[in-house]
Amino acid sequence: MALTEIEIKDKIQKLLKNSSTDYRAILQLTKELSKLDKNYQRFFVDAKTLIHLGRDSIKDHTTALLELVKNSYDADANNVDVDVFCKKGNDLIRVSDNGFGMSKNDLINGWLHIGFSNKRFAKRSKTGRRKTGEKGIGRISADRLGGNLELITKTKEDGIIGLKINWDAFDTEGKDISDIDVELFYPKSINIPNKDGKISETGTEIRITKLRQIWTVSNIENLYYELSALTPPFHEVKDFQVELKNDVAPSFSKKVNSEFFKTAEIELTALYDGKGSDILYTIKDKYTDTEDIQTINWKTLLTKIQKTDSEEVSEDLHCGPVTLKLLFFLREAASVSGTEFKISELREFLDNNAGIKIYRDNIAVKPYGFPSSQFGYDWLELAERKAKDPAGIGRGAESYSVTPNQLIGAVFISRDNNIDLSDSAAREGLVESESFYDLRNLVLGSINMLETHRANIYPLIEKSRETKKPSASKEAEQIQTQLSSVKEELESIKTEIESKASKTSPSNISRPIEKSIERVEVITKKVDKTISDLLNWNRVLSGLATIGISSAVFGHETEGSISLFTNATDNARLLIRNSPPDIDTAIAELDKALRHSKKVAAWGAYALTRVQREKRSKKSINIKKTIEAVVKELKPAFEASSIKLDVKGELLVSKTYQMDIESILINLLTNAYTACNQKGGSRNVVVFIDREDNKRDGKGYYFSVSDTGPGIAKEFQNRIFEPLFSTKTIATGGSKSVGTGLGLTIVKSIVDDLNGKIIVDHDPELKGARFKIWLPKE
Amino acid sequence: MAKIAIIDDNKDQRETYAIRLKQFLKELNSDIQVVESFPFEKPSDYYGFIDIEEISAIIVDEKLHNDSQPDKPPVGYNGSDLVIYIRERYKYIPFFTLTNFPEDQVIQEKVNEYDYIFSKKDFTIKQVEIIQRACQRYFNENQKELSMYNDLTRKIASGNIEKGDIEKLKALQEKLQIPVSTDLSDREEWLKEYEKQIESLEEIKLKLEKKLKK
Repeated sequence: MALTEIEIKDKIQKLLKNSSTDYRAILQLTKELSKLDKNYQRFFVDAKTLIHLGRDSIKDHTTALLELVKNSYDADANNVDVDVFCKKGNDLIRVSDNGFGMSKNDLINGWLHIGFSNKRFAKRSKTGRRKTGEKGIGRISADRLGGNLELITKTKEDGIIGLKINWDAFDTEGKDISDIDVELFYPKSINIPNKDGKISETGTEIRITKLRQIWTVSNIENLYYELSALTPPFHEVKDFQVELKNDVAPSFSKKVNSEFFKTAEIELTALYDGKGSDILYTIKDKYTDTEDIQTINWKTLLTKIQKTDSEEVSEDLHCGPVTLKLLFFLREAASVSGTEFKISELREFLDNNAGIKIYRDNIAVKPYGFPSSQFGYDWLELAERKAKDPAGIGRGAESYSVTPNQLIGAVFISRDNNIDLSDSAAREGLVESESFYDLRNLVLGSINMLETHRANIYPLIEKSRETKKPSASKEAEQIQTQLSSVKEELESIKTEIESKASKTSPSNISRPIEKSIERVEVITKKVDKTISDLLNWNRVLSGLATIGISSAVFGHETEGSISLFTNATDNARLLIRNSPPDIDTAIAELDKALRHSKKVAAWGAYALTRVQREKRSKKSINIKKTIEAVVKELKPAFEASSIKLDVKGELLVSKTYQMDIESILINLLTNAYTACNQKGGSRNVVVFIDREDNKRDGKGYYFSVSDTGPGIAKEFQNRIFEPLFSTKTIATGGSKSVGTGLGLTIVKSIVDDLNGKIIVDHDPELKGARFKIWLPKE
Repeated sequence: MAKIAIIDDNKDQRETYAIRLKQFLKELNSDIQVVESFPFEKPSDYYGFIDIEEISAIIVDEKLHNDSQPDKPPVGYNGSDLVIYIRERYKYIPFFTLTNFPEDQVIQEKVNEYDYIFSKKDFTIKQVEIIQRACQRYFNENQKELSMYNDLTRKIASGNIEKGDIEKLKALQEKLQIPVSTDLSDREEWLKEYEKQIESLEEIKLKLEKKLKK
């Protein structure tokens, strides 16, 4: 039963008179008392709200940890240690800084005051940093990281003082937030980074245990790069350094830095002071010593990016003062020569950091330029621009464009000077105002400046590389020089004849001509041989790839036969040993073993005969016989899957490469086999051969492969020849692809080589797919 | 008698592994029987098969969809599809796969559904011992529970209910997967309704008697 007002007052008075104060009981009673107020009532908050607030306001555990590091930044820390240890029993996340720390008053009236942020009143920290968070709820996001939190802080006025929070205690039903105790404690020491080489007089250490989540290598990697983006890499600012330690990905246990900027090809800086319409550019590159400095008018810049007629364009720049830095990288080995980096490291760095970020007061504004964000990464739509016109640098400045993964950029703005560039109500990003579009166009224009510069210096770069020609093209070059020397000789002969010098004896002319002809013949032979070698090589590779693909598909069958062979033989042995021995069953098992050993042997022969040398030259072959030979070899595999495999049609002979015909057929049969297995019931594959002359392409013949499988969906018919595209899925309707996506690409390349055609449709009788290969008859 | 079923679409394989299984069971002095079968047309056909044959362990091949028999076309499902289906009704029946490709992605994805994945290349008395133990345990457990179930139903039918009997029966029904079309509470309501009707008939009868007496 509820107490009356008098009873409560009475109890409170008694408690107050006690020599030791029972704070908790007094609080409870005063709360109850206030509920009896007839004129005014107050909200009270469920303890669980705290947990919801913390969890809902933060995306993931990396962001939660980042919030704590941002608090260190706001506390003017120079150094922050971030530890993530996940080993069972010793799990710990620690964020420790040498910032200003918190006094007891700060702790009680600030830190424990949810939703309160002094950052709202003091926007800049004592050393002039623009504070990053202002909602006052970053600290409760620590619940995301682990169940227990210990906060130890040191100030000059109050010394070392700590708080212990058990977040799980808040996760109960029906309790008021003030019902849950937060323990104050007074530790003797605190573990914080030194300040300027000396023990820091102030700082804060946060220790989180009972971790909620296992950190993966990619989580740590992500954390590392998020931390490296927390302070702008462009300023040589050393006043904020983070040291990461962890036991998940040891290679990321290091000082967070970004030295990779040395490897940039081009460095561009754009300065706009917020007045007038002139932008000052400074462009440096690796190849020329001079700095290119120029002033560009806003309107000129807009014409460069062809934005003048768009609605997004304004007369003057509205975005306020901006500094833009762009670094352009190439993902090549040459970029790292002379530096301490490996090319793989540079690529990884670019993969993680590429993008143009916006820094407000030196802190990155998400999601712009963050590789991990889906929409923000390419906020300038550079990839789309490149896709529309993929011209390479060789085509000159007009149409060349960079790709977003080659650029690292920073746009520096500040909250106080760029008032129109304000946060959007949703947590990430800026409001897309006129000022924002101006900023975007300024960046796009600057990228255009960079592209022009690169196109201008390109011939220079090429020259520096000329010595490193690959050997294949060297050969082509040699042939070219030989041919041109022949051409010169012929020219001179021609002039000699034209001069009609009477003295010219026939032998004088015929000898050089003969010589020239000889040389041309030699060159032609050489070229012929190179080409036919290449084609032959290609043929062998296609054949080998075909064996590989078909083995992967039919190999299951062989594998079954091998294990059956061993088990049946072993069975026979055991059956004979029994007393009395079971001879009949033993013999039946041995018969079975023999049958299956033959299957294995046949499969071995199949693989070996595929790439025989004589199949690689062009000669008259009987097409039907070739097809029948392949079908005979594959028949056992088909029969093992209850597929009836037939060859129909007439005998015909054509001059062609046997290996090509076999490769095409095996790939088509492999596909038909997989297709048939996707359906139960009666399964058939038919190969049909016939002559077919064609008005446009002349005399020819075709062979088709039809099956009773599910057929090829219309939407895939144009895609099936693309390399790596595969519709082969797990037999009973799964969605996982099991094909290599190379079979039909091989078929298409062979058919193209032979001047043939492929027609894909539905077989009217078998109801599955039909692949018809038409080839010219020679 | 406990029975192990071998399901494989390939006759040669099915027979060889059945011979092997029988041979090893004999060496282990087990009286468990072995039945082998071509896969059934529909997965639901297995329910009747398990109940009628009193199967206490199942061994399947993964690639069930390849082979056929003269009167039976190839089926449209695989071992990993079947295990899911069987588990819907027989949650605890020992279920093994015997395959050439124990590392196969499809099998590995359902690894928790199987009691064991055996390689055909390594199918010896050791593996059979595992199968035998699981089969026998399931059989014994089932026998015990079935006889308990029978006792309970008899007791309840005779109206001799003790506290907690109904709950025990329900739990057993669930564990043994004995299908019950309506819940017991429904039956209770139905009885109440029935009694009510009898009561009203009784009333009419009384009224009629009164009238007749007048």
